[in-house]
Amino acid sequence: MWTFLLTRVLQALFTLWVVSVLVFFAARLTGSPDLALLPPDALPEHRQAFKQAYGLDKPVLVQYWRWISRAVQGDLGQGIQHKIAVSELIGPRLVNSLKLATVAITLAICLALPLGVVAAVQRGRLWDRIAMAIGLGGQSMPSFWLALMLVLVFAVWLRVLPATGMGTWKHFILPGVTMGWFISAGIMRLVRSSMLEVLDAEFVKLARVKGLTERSVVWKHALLNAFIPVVTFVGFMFGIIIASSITTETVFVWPGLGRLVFEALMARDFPVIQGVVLIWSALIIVLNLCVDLTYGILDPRVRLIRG
Amino acid sequence: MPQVRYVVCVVVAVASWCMIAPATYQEGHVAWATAKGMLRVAVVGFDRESTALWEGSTPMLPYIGNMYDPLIAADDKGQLSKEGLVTDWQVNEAGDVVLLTIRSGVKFHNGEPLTAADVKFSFETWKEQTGGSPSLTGAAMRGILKRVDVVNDQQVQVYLHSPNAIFPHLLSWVEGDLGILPQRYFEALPGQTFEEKRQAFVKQPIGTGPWKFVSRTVGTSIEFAANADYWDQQRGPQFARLQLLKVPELSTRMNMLRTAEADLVVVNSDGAKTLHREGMKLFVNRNVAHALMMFYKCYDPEMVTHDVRFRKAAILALDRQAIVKALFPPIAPGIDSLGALSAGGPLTGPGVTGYEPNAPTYPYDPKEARRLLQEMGYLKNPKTITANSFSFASLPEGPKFIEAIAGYWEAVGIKVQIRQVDATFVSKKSTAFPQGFEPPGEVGVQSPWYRPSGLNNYRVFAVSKPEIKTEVEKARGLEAGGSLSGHCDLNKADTLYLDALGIMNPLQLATAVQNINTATYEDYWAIPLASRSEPWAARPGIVSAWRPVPLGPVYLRFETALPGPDVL
Repeated sequence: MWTFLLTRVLQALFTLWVVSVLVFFAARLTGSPDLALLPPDALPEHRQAFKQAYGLDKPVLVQYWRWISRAVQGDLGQGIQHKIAVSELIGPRLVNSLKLATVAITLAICLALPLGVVAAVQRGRLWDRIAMAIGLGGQSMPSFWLALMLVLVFAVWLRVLPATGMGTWKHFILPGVTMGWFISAGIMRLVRSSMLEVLDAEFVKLARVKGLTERSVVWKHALLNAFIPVVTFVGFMFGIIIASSITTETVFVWPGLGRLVFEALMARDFPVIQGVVLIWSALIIVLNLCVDLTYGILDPRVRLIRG
Repeated sequence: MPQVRYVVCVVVAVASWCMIAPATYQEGHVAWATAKGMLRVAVVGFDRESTALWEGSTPMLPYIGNMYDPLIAADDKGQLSKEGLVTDWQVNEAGDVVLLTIRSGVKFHNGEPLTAADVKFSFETWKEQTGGSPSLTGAAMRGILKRVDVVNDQQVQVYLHSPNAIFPHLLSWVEGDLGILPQRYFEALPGQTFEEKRQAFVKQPIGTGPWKFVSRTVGTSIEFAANADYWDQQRGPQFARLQLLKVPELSTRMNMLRTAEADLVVVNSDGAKTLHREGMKLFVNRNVAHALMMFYKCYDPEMVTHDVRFRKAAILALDRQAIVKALFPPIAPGIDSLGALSAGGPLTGPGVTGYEPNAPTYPYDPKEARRLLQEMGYLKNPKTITANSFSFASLPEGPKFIEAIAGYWEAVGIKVQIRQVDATFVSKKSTAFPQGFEPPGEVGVQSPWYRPSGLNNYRVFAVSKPEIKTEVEKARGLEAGGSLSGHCDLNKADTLYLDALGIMNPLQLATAVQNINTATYEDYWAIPLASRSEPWAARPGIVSAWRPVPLGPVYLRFETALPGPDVL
């Protein structure tokens, strides 16, 4: 177990280093922040002074060494656009994004799990088709359009939910549904196919023969065994949902990481871009590690192999 | 009996308090009694979010400008006025010394009076802040300001390196971004170095403006409270609070207005039409930006755009009036189009010094365009021009202009390929030396800010950049200090600019700028497209009236918004 953990941590550190190199050098390909932030009539000496102030006049390898040596100590530097510490900028945004992603994932699971199970049990019948239609709708509707429609119906017409901002539980519903519906389609299809596979397994037939109720067979024995690929998918999607939430955050004026990094890209704010990508990568790596560890809890066979 | 007396005393005391208390309250809160409610304004973005005005360039004014004042005021059309903090300015004969007289009775938000020492401190802060200070005026001050002397409590003398006709314009917010800083307050802030004091100031900034800073959430919003002691009674805020919300998405801003999550939002032509139909009130900020198409690096003979016949053909091929009409349809009865085709050259328009409304405008003549292209041999061997398609916040229609122009050009035989980029991509090419634009030619739609002096935009867009030394610069030992080097004959552009810059007589200066406009028109070095206005929509119950630009075009002020009947 400890060997497994150590291996994964070393792999994670290597991945983070690769990401840090890629993002550092890729960000500098499209121009420096003075082009985006200084007035068009800034003179060359003003541009040079601006670059000096942020160490951008140094060779790029020196810049990288300075940044990475501070980053490993927890100092991600100062944002160029707003002159605020990157950690101060990222911290609250990360919390906001995590909150929203948690709500979205929870809503997605609450919707997808029962629908997936019902679709598998009622295979080929009306409920299966309804569930598949809901899933297809979530996957095929662009989140930008869905967000606008939800706002129009629930905020503008019905006036039951706020259109923008954050603060109360009501603010989580519309952005949560927008993000959650999209991933619920994937979860639902996965639950359905896993359940179909498990429902044909010998141990399920044995459970039925032993006289267990259908509810117990389906929701306890079959579902638990069908859950492993779903956990992998949910863990993977949690990272993706945070990284791809920019449209939802923009429509709902949600102050999350997506909007922060988009604005940083527009301003060529290198420290913020690097900081956000590094945090994202770390988050996805940690989530994957958690998923791997969860396998052991869900499936004793995995525990035994690792042991 | 003592009990009765006690009761009578209590009754009299209560009655007296009931009569006196409201009077006392009203006496102490005269201004607050008029200022009421909160105005929530949804804007597209904030650019740099700092409360220290000197740290940002002009686009930071809409974020924090509400709590500062410009030195020199301007009217709605951008003409300088003496109604601001500076009540008079006198320039010496040589044009290199300016005496500024400061208004008395102006107070900072901490109650301390504004003095000439604060003005000197502000100039020096703007000038000395080098790295990390991208202020437009800061950049200009570093180039032209020699020193500032305090004459007395209400006057400062400003010494310039050379005569500069547009110096007063740089002290307004129409063409600059200098605000007044409180010297004593700043120096008393904790910390030893300027940077330490800056960090303290950013958390608790004060200015002389109509709004006091309350709080902000970076990336989301900033909130202000009305300054009850504001010096200009004409512009005392009528709302008690002001909240600016950053909402980049147009449909979200429109929905926020519908759901009462915002009271005043910036929109576009289509959005304004829709909201007007739904009963929202519309306001229009006129002539916020111009649109012009530039033939980048046309001073380079390698470029096909260096040939005046090509540029003339490219202009005559366009039905500019039809393009403007299509992109800016009328909004509603009484509120016409948001775009207007300007007469004359590409850098002039209503309100700009030297603007001539009856000046000729380029005709639509595709036959002549084809003839010119034929004459120069372009049609035999057509080379493909690259059209960089990007937009600015002040001109979101940029890519639409490119598409329309490409269609007209293809019709007369000019080959065009459209390249989707962002503005920074073009900045990278224009700031490089030599400029990164490649033959046979590159074009793009630029959006100059509204600069009524006429000269400042000519400096930014036409004259040579510092790395290019023209003959006139060498001969006079001066530098034109341009940025985009947009003119196709840089020596001519520099000559016209440097000649005009030394003219201190306003009438002679206006004539010189008019001559520049005429020459600009005749040289075909850029294509004038339109001046653009910006529509705003408001909840009629919350905002009953609003004068968006009391200090000159472009920079919105919210103290002039008047509460509607629903504001309690």
